[in-house]
Formats: sequence, C-alpha cells, structure tokens
Amino acid sequence: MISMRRKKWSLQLAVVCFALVALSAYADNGDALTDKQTDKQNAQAWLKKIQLAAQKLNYSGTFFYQQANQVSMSRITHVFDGKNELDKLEILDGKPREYIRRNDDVACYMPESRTIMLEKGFTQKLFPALLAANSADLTEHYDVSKVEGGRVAGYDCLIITLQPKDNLRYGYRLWAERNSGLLLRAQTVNEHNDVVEQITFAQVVIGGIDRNNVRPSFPNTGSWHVEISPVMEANLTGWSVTAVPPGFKKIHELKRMVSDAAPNPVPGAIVTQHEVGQMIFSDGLAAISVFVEPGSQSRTEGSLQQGATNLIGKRQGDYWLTIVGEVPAAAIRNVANSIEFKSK
Amino acid sequence: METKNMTQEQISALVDNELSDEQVNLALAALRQADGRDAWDIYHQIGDVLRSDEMAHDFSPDFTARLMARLDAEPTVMAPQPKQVAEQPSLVAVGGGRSMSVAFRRFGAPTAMAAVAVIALIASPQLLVGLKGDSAKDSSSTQMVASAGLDQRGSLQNVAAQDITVSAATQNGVLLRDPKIDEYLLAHQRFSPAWNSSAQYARSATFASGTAK
Repeated sequence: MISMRRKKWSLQLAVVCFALVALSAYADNGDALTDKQTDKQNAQAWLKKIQLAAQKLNYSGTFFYQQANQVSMSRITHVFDGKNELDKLEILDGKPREYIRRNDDVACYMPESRTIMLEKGFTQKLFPALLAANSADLTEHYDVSKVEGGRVAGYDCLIITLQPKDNLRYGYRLWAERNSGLLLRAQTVNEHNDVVEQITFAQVVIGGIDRNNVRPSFPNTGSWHVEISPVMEANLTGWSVTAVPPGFKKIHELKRMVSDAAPNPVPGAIVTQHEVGQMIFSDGLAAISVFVEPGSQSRTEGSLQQGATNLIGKRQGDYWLTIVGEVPAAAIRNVANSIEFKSK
Repeated sequence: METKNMTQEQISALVDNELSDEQVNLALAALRQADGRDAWDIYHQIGDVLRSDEMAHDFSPDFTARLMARLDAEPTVMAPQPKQVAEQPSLVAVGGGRSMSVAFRRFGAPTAMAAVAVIALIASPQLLVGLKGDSAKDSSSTQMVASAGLDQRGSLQNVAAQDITVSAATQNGVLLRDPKIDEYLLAHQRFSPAWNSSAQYARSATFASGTAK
C-alpha cells in the first residue's frame, strides 16, 4: 500500500515537472528570446555606464576592501572638472598613506618617512580605458546579465553579474547605483559562488564635491623627499608565455629595479639592486603578471592563495619566475608551465 | 626561580644572536635541559608568528626528533662548495669597520636558518610519504630530497633534479606571506585593472599595510 502511494506521488511529480519544462520551453520560443538578447545588451550598456560614472562623476565616500581574512578601510574623493580627473585616496587602516592622482600621474604621500613617491604615465592607459574598450569582448568569456538588486550604502542598486564561461577566471557581481551607475559594491566569486574578495562603500555622497577636498592633507611638503618610481616600459626579448587563458592579451611589459635588502636592513650595509621584468596580461577584468629576474639566490618554490589572488614562484634555468594574478590556481599553473625563454 | 629567568633571558638573547662568545657556551649548556629546549622552541615560534600569522600552528610533539632522525638517515652528498658562500663576504667587506662584522653575523644566522627551512620544507612532503610506510619508495624519495636540496642552494645545475623540485614544490609547497612576496603582489596589483582606481589602491594598501616599506 505504501509503495503504491509512493509510485502515485512520483508519477504526479513527473507530470508536474514535464509540464514545467514544456511551459518554459514554450516561453523561450516566443518573445522571451529577444528579451534575453536585449537584457544582455542592456547589461553591457550598464558596464559602460559603470566605467563612465567612475570617471565623470564627483563623489566622496568610505569603503571597505575585504580579501580572504583581511579588511582595510579607505576614503576616496573624486572630482572631474570637465577635462581632468582628480582623486584623493586616504588609507585609514595601518600605515597612513595618501594617493593624489591627476589623470595619469599619481603621487603617494608617506608621512612617517616624509616621502612622496611619484609615478607618471601608467594609470590612465590601463585602468579605466581597459574595461570600456573590451566590454564587447567580455561577452565571449563571460555571461553578462542584469538582475534587480538591493540597497548599498543607502542607494538603490542594480546588479550586473559576469559568469565565467570557463574555469580559468572568476565571476563578478557588480552593484551599480540605479540613477548614476556609480559602482557601490563589487564581489569576486569562485566556482562555488563563494565571495573570495569584495569592495563596498559604507557611506558615499554623489555629486557636489568641492575641488579643495582633493588636495593633499599635509601642509608643508616642501622639505619632503621626492622619489620617482623606478618603473619603465621595456621589451623582454626572448620570453614568451603561451598558455594565458583565452581572451587575455599582453597589455604591458615593464622593468623595475628592486633592492636586495633584508627585511630589517642594517644601517651602513650596501644595498645591491637587480632588475625585474614584468609582463602583464588582462582580459579586461582580471590580470596576470609574470615577473622574470636573475635567480642567483636560493629561494623556496611553491604557491600561495590570498583571496582571489594566486601566486607561484619557481626556478627556470638561471632565472626566477613569479606568476601572480586574480585568477583561479589552475590558470596560474597553466601560465607558469608555459613560460619559455629563447635566446637569439 | 631567578636562575631560571636568567637562563631564559640568555636563551632569548641566543635566539636573537646577541650573546658574547663566553655567554654562548653557557646558553648552549642550558639547551641540554628540557626547560631550556622548550624555551628555545617557544622563542622561535614567537619569532615565526611575529613574522607571519600563517606560522601560528603547533608541530606534533615528536616533530624535531623525527626530522632529526630523517636527516641522519639521509645519504651524505659530496658536492663542490657553493658559489654563494664566496659572494657573501665580498658584500660585507665593502662597508668595513666594526659595524660590518656585526652586520655579517646578523646576516649569517638568518641565512643558515633559511637554508634549514628550505630543506625542511622540501623534506616534509616526503616525510609524510615515509610515515605511510612503503620503505622502498621511501628510500628513493630521500635520495631525491637530497639532490633537490642541493639544487636549491645553486651548487648543482642538474636538470632532472630540478624537475623534481618543481613538481614537488608546486604540488605541496605552500609559500608563506612575507615582505618579499608582498612586493610582487603590490607590483602586480598596481597594474591590474580594477573597477575604479580606488579599488586598485585599496588593494595595494591591504598589502602595503603589512609590509615594512
């Protein structure tokens, strides 16, 4: 008797399921298909809107950045005067740091050592332009969709989701303010849909920001030590990386001098330097860096995961390679195993 | 009680490499006592945890004994003197004076410790294999460890040994966050696309705040 009942139940269930499938299939054949397409275009348009909003709006707010078990809090103030973009970012946790950006040039103020570090000409080419230029390509490697969202920092939001089409990149969920498109929260999610890293405004004011708010907070920096960041464009001839994930393109080749100082340098000791090359690949959302340097020192090979960031350090012949990126460990491994050097 | 405190202080100074030659002998004698050994271990652990949160874990009670037994069982490898040893004094000689000899001693100790750490790190996965039994496989892996360790020190350019190191390390070796690795993370994130410039700096800041820069 009991078994009869069970059979009857399962039969009913099957009928209901079938009906549901049939119904949804029917719906898909109709207008729903074109709706989906416009949804997708809509979502892409929102990606562009997010990008533009970050550049063209004036805003000021406090945000959290959380990565694995680390959290840090910062305050950003952004002003666009019609021609120039001005940013002031204050790091509120740990060591005091202040970054003042004017278009391509960034000055980092380090009060405890009374130092200003200048970096010129790299920012603009890379960050904001990148996503905008690639947002059509993005749909080749991500399913982009738009869903209704909740509130973030008191503002109503829409959520744009980017679901990766392979296992060589993470997914993203972006909360954009409904009217302006300003990004108020971004989450990086792994294949189980767990958040591995996120950044979110706790409080933000959009519009009506005074230009004086993007000046450095330190009154007399005339006597401060000014350093120019030792990074330059370079050509790392002979090195090739063949297995970057599809859609990743080389966006930069750089060289920098790195000092070999011990963590606690002894005063008076001579600090030697060596050159480190860096190749950067990106799909517009994530990036992978390959660092190449002469490998004379003894170092431990291995890997590291920190939030969305994965790292592998390995020796190759006379060189030491470090591969870093905000992509899953499998992607970093592929890259690490595909690096070749051919001397001409 | 007071003598015990004094001994512990001596051991602490020994860990920090701050003892004079006469005191070193006394401190070393203290290390023969169980109390002294415990203090030695705990001071090292404190140092480790200060350098990285990820070091905050307990070893099994007989870890040291087992590691020492494994090291004793390893074959002695005859190899030419590593080049690096010759390079180090030349760096020291540049500065000159008394401060430099102190500097050398200070540098010397961590380098030696690092070398031990490298061997321990490579040895540990093999240790696990050893514990599971299978003695034939076990002895061959010990051989590999020895040659891999040598390769780390840069004295052998043996391609086969190198391959072994790579596979062993990338499968089992988990690197610990240290200032050097933070530098790579920082350099990468500086040029990684972010949703807006603020996210990019916030990322760097997360790393920078932990680093003595």
